[in-house]
Amino acid sequence: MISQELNDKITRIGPTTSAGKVLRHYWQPAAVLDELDETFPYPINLMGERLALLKDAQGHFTLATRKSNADEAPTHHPASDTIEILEDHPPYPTMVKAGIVFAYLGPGAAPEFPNFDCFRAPDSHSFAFKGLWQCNWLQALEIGIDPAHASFLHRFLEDEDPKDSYGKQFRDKAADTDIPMTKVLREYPRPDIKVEETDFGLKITALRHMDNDLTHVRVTNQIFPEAICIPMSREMTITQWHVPIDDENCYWFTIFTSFKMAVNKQLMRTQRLNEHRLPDYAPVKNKANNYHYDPDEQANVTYTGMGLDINVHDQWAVEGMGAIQDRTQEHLGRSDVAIIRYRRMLRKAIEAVENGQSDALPMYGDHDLKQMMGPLSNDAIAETQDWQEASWQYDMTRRSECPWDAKVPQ
Amino acid sequence: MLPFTITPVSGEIFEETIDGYFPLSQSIWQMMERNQFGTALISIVQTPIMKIPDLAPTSPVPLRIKKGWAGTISKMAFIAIMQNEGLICGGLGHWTWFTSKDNHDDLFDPMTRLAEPAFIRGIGLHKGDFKTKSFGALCLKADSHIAIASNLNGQTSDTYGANDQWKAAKLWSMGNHRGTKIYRQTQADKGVYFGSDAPSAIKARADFTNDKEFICTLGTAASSMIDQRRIENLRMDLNGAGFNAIRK
Repeated sequence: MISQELNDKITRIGPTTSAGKVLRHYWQPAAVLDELDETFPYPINLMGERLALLKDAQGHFTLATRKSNADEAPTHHPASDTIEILEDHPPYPTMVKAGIVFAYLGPGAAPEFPNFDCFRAPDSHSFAFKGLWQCNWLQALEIGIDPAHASFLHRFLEDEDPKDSYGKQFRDKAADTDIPMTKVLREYPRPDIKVEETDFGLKITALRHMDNDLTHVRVTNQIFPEAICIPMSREMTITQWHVPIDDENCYWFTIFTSFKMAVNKQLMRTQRLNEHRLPDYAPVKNKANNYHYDPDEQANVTYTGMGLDINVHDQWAVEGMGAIQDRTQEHLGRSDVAIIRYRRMLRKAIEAVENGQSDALPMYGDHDLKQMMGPLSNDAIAETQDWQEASWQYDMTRRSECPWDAKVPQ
Repeated sequence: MLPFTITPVSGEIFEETIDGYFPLSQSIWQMMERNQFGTALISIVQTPIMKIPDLAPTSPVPLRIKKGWAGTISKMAFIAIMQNEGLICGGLGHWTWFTSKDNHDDLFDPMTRLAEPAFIRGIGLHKGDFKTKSFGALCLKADSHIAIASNLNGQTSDTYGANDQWKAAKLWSMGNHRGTKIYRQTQADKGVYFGSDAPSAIKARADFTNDKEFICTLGTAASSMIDQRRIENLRMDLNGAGFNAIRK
């Protein structure tokens, strides 16, 4: 129930806006390498700016400003030979990490990258993809830091055989048990949610207290300013940025990071291309076709009736709020604790930038980003009194069995 | 010789989310009831607030607000004390109304409504039978890492109190603004104080020698990592000032 002025302040991302200035202090995903067809300049629409990716003879990318019309569609994708670069705008620096071209649109020198798992894993254990959501970036992020929503929005009325779960969210077995994650989410819908501020953002722990004094522990993370790091399966994590195209559209960029086994990239890509249209990566299921809503499916299979891909459920939920969620009429509750903490952090960051105190931003100042590792992101089932140790131990075991260097400071 | 006596009392360094949409004092009252606090030092930062004209403090906030105005508490620290007649809040803060002349008000109305739930940090002291001059009746607890430091009537002490295990301590005070109101912080205000490096330095500061009681946190070898982190976070929220401690 915040004012329109405050809502504008935390949602709008143009170069002169409050939130836009904060986001510009961080590397932003601009393109997945898989989408580049070696025809340059390649159009990129990012942070309300119309840009184009250039590649020099040494294979280095830069991101330049291109000439555009004010009425261009948000995902307008002009042919390479029609792109006109504006030479009076200095290009933005880029860096390729884990299959994604990142760009720095901010002031001063670009910061270092933290040493998160998604950036440490070798190419064989990493896969990147993106998808379009037609809404503001903040509501796209906020659903990802609400651990309670999964028990409703992603409720499956029947459990799938986990051996068919590869590459899919919430379809594995929970931790080292034979209990499907879908069953845990369905039968224990009211988690206790604990939120801790970290050097990179927030650590969010959802505790689902089960029978026999057992607790399901799910640890997810908010990486400031607009990413999350969450478990996808026992094997993989998802690190996902919600990157503004403009105020009313965003791309999710995801790095899937596998610990033990190399990623089956072909399967992962095929699964996702079945759900998206190129070149703009718009979802096949969308508002125009009612997200393929099927009342029979809703009665018997899923909570939403919109298919088995949970991305579509989230897409419907966040796009349904409107292009920019009207927070003047919202009513947050206690279970929205991570959203409350995140907005507080964002408003502090806005104030810091307005006061010229960029060093106060998360991951700025004295932090040694090379030592910023992890983050712990997993599901575990433990005796209730021992859940913290069990969650940590589960993560350590997974890291010790990993063929690449996934060790973190004790 | 310490320039005050130290009396350990039951309490905790807390982090809480209080309900939104109620008047601030109501949400604080509920939080204190929930935790059995009689007194608490509370820090609120970056919290949206709103005023809805013609809406009684006891009325529920309407689903759709058609008129009113909005603002933000950018930083506020106060000591809240539960008393029979209600909650007393005294402290300092910065707040801004976006579309109102009230930005020149020197006093913050604790009946101002929160525009969303708020995350707060603080030090809570549990209710009990031990009467203090400034903080109501508290609960004595010898092994506590939270205490009341007092120099009322020139009290001093040769000992370090019932809990003799602490190595360092911090005093938390609203300075000259301890009272029953929340004032707009000016440049002349030093905000919340944290003690000083040595008893002699404390003694030299007028703020700490004027017949006062202070909330005090004791650093012991057994201080948990969680408490240490929470104290540091609270200190950062309050003013980001340097770490000052009384050392044994």
